[in-house]
Amino acid sequence: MKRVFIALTAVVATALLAIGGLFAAWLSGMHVPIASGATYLRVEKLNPVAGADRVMGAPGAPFFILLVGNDSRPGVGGARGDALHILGVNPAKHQATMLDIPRDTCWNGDKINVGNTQSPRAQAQDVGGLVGVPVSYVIDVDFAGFTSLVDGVGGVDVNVTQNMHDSYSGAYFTPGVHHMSGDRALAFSRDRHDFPQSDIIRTGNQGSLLLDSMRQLDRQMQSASGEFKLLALLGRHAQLDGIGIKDLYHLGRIAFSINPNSIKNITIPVTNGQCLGLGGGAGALFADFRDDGVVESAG
Amino acid sequence: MGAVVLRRPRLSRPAACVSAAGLSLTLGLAACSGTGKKAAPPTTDKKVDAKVAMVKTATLRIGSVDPESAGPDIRVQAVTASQVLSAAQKYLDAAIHAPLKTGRVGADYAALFDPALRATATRSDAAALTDAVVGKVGSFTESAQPVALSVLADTNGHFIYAATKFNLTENIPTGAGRLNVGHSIELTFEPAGNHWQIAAYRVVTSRVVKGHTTTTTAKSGGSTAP
Repeated sequence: MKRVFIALTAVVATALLAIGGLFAAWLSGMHVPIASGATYLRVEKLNPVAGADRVMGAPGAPFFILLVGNDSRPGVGGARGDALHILGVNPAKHQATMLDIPRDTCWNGDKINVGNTQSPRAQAQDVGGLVGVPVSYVIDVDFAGFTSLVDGVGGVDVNVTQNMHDSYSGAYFTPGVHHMSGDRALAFSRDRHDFPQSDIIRTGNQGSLLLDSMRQLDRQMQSASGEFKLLALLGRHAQLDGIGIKDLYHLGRIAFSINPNSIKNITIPVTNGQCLGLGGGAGALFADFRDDGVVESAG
Repeated sequence: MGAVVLRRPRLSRPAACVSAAGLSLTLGLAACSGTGKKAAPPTTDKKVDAKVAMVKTATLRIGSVDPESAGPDIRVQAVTASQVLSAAQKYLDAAIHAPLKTGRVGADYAALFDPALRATATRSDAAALTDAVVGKVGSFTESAQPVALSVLADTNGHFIYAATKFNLTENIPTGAGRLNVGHSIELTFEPAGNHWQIAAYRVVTSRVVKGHTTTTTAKSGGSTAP
């Protein structure tokens, strides 16, 4: 009897230690891959068109997707939209353009990134209002989700254009192409202390990271088997709102019918200050973007 | 899971009719040859076989199965694999075999595709998807690699897509020389009522005659957002 009691005590103690360890790891921001159904990101469909299951009411019409990286993590609440990128997709032209929005851009008297603290939908309305386009989909991911997604696709090859040596973000890179795990990709995308223009350069780097990721996914999406693997990953780890797996499949077919190397990545012009105003040329840039989802006037 | 084989007659209907007609003619001639002279040598089975062998079509077989699920773990039952394989075989019959035998794609060719794909499948992508550009030929032989089957289930474990990928080679004697055709065919199906319909495709077709190669590719992309 005494032996059984000792054995039971040992099992319970081991289990408690394990749970405690995992909880501590989670609190410290580490990714704990114990639940296959953990939510990595959220995908929401906006602006449903009545009477037609089409984004803009016409087949092949351009549409706009907002990509949000929020800063929610253990110890930091609020989920501000610290990485904001709006992708214009023109299926008929097989072209796309991504506009990078610095998080400190002013909108309605406040920084634009606070919109995400209400909801990704509110963030989409703010960015859509700034640029002047209807956002059809918003994809929102937090720190842990970002690292898990990158790890889930086997890491990503990122072209680093300048030295990075930042203890705040943990970004230590030399120029060149680096294969990055989720943690390293997150550090790369968060580094702003290495650059005089701080968040402006960081925003551009985030856009570059997204396009590098698209190039990598594009290679995986060249077969139905690869497509199914990615969709299964998304299905298990994405919170889908107003959209299903089949919709994601169709979106993917559209997105990957576009050569990632042809997608322009443009950081919108802003002024200096705490709350950044729009710089010269922003109006013309937005108008060019708005008409067909593709910016022809800038490189 | 074990290999799934859809058994079907090796001879297509037109080839069987030709064989039957040939056999009838042979038997008729033999019946009319009772003149007391040395009987004409009967048409041998060997000769009939040689004529039949000139049209040899491929029957698809499952090679590998790759199940993916956005929800619970899934198994692909043999009946599901057979249904998808049957849909791929229908494509093969209508897009590849029918043009070589009759000069035209099968009557049900367009209906194999999702309505959104039919225009491109029957026009701009037809050169890669079908052998209509080759036209009717007297004979050909064909072989197919085992089919790689991939299946995707939704969050509830229901199959929403299935894809077949296989390579097909054809050897066709023509007046201009021997024509070798290679098809790399990937078809993505989705359930449509009680059958599977082609929702997307990636096809590369190369045709080589006397060292001259022509390659055509076709890939369906989404033209409309969900």
